[in-house]
Amino acid sequence: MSLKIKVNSEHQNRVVEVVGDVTIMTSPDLRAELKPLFTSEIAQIEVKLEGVGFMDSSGIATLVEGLQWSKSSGNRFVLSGLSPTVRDVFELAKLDTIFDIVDNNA
Amino acid sequence: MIRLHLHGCKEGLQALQAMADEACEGVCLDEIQHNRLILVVDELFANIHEHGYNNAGGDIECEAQWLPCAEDMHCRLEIMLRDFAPPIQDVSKCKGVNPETLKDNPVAGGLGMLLIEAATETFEHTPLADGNQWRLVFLFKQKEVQA
Repeated sequence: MSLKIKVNSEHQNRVVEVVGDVTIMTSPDLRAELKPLFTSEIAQIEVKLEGVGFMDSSGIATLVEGLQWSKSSGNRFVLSGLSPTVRDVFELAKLDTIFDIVDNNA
Repeated sequence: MIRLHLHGCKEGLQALQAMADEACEGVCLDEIQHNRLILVVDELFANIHEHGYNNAGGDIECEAQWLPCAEDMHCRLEIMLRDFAPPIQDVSKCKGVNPETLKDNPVAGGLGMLLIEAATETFEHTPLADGNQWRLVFLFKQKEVQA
């Protein structure tokens, strides 16, 4: 399944909408879209995952990289809209407390 | 019991996932349990493909079977994978990253094995003379495996 990624700009914030499965085959595309966003001019980067039904460790690893980039460049890095299955993967890896995860209706 | 003989390419992953799905046909797994099953198969296949065969392809044999439900009222699905990659003698290479260290120092490596260990009751690796054997056991409550 291909991955659709759309980046929206809202003042100093960027919202990254992701639709599809984030796997070893598609996570490089997500990484390529995310990495340029982490600059000191950007306040917050939100990755919206409502449209993601499946995510494997390569997807998680890409988001861990995002977390590392955000610490280096001083951005807030937020994940939102996690489905129960995607959230479960974060919980299995015990990463749900490390990321800034907001609910769909937050 | 289901047996497949796959060439270790990424497309083979779909066949492996289909095998896991077939093994659970008629079984009432919830969405999260089913996702964990597919996730673990995906992760192990990707590790064999990437680290065992260096992304160059290779053969993988796999089989899945339900073990008889035990007195503890749990049923177990056993999935065995066998590759013909160089045998792994260093068991540390078959271990996931320690989740406790992730809290202070999140790293991108070793997450696949961590997920496999976390989502299975048993995850065993056995080096063979000409490859590796991987045994996965998933635990389900008996009521969860009745159609």
